[in-house]
Amino acid sequence: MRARILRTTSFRLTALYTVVFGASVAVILGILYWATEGYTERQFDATLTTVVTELTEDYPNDPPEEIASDIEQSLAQDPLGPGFYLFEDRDGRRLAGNLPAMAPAPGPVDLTLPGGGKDGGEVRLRGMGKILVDGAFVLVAADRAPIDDLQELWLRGLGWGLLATAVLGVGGGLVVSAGVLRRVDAINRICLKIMEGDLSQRLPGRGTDDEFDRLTGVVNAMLDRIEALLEGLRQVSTDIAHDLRTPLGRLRQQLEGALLRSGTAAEYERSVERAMAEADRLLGIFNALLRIAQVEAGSRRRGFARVDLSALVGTVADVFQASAEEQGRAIRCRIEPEMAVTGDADLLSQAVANLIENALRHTPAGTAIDIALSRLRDGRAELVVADRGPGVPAEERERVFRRFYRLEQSRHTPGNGLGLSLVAATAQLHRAEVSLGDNHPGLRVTVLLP
Amino acid sequence: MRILLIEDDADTAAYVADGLTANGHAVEAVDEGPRGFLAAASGAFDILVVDRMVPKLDGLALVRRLRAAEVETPVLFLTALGEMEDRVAGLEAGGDDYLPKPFALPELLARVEALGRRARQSTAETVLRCGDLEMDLLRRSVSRAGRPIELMPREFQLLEYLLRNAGHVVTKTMLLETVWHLRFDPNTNVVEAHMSRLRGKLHRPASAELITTIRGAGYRLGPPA
Repeated sequence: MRARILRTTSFRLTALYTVVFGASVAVILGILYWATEGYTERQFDATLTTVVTELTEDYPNDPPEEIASDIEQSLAQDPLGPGFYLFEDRDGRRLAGNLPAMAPAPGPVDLTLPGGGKDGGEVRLRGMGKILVDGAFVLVAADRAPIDDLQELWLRGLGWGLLATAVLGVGGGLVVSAGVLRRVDAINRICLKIMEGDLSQRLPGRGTDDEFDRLTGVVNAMLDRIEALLEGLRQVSTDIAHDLRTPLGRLRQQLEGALLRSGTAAEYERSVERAMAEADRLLGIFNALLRIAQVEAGSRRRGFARVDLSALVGTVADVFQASAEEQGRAIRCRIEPEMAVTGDADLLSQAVANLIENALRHTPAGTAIDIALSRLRDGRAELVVADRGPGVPAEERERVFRRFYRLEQSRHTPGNGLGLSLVAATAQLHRAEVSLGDNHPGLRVTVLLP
Repeated sequence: MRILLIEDDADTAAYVADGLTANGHAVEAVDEGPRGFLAAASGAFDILVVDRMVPKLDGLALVRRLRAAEVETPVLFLTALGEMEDRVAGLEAGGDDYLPKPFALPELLARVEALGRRARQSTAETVLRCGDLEMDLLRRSVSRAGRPIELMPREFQLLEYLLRNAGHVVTKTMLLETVWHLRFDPNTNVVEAHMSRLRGKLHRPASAELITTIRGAGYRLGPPA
């Protein structure tokens, strides 16, 4: 767990952030340090300069002895004064003061005086030198402890600050990363369960609408979709198995009957013919399923071309005309001429045929079927196939597009329950909309083709 | 007719060869592409029945090469693929007809024979006849025993196709394809209904029935040729 935390993205980001933040803290404190320390040093130097000026302002009108006595007096009486003095003549001889003689140098200077402290230790001094007009040299110095103390205070503050930044940064990084890692681990665990086959699992959300919630929300929606698709697939497989078992069973019965009954050649022939019809029905179901699958795969869009929809609908209506008239029905067409769409002529023909066939199958003899094709104002082609039969109840209208789905009332009419599935698949391929409506009475199927 | 069958599936090949032989055709079967190509290129056959998927040289490529070599023998493609894109690809490669598997033998037979006739037929005819039935393609008129018969345009096309194949069986799917350009079977009795209506219009009490229904296969106009 610990090693994994260090590898997490959030920890790395926090660590990087800590380094950058620490560096900026160091830079800010550094700038403040230089600014304040310089100021203290300048103040110190100014005080020393004032003392030097006071000592030497009347020189050389006052004799050197007066400076020397001033120094001795200050040393003896002024506990608040700088505390360290040197007065040399031009030849480097010390005339007064408590500092050892040195080479004259004007301006500020840092000195170390061994054994000068109260406890006999080393003392660091800050001094201000001045070379007088005749070459004599005056140096006033003071213990620079106040400057050094402040400097040390600053450095210590900087160190602690950086340390605190680092600790808070790394600690915060660990805490944040552990939180993120926990959520990611929870997601991983559930994903593993889903991989093992439990598709009902969903990723947890906190309900805070953070980026994790949005991610898990999208993944959950994806899982819903996958589950629905798989459920559909399972449903279809079950339906296929179920719907194929019936004709296969009948096929077997007929063959068995032919085998058992020692009938005449004509009886055998009839049995074999019935068996073949059953086999053809099965092949028809497979062909329809394959066709639907192929249409749903979408590859047929490649073969799209301009299709004269008016002629196509007219031809398909015509093919059904004669058989409809035999049942005492009319197929009435109202087709706007010269309407073209982009699509697959074979599939569109079959879809129109399926709609007409459906209407013929599920409505009583003697009722009319109306086919209308017109151009809507938005440019889409509207195909309506309306009958005057029993219609489809509103709550069943979505379901009739499913493979093998058949209404209870039409269980015993011929048909394999795949016709409308192909219509739906074809419509989807053509980005068309299919809707079922009420024709008062009857069913009214509307297809809107772009 | 002499028919070359290029098909690698032994069962299908035997089924097709037996069926065609039983109907008086001479069949030679080959189970792979290159030998099929050589046999076809010899020009000794009237019809080629070619499976789309044969080993070593697939059906499409084989026919394309034949056409490039100017062998114009009519080709009927057999395929398990069966869908429209494949059909279009087959026709573009130079195939003349396309039959998806599984198919019924009468369907194959009718299509093979129709292909053979089409190759021999002249398209310049303007009057088609069968017995006392006569169709004038230029005037778009039909008469039987000299008396005119009124036909709807689609009925005219239907009768024209039957006349061009007079004496031979045409199947329901062949009719749907040529007359209505539908490449699927609507499964209901649509063709039967059109046929019975056409029969009604052609019927003359004094004359013989012209259109015969061949059970399990299709229809034939006039006596068998």
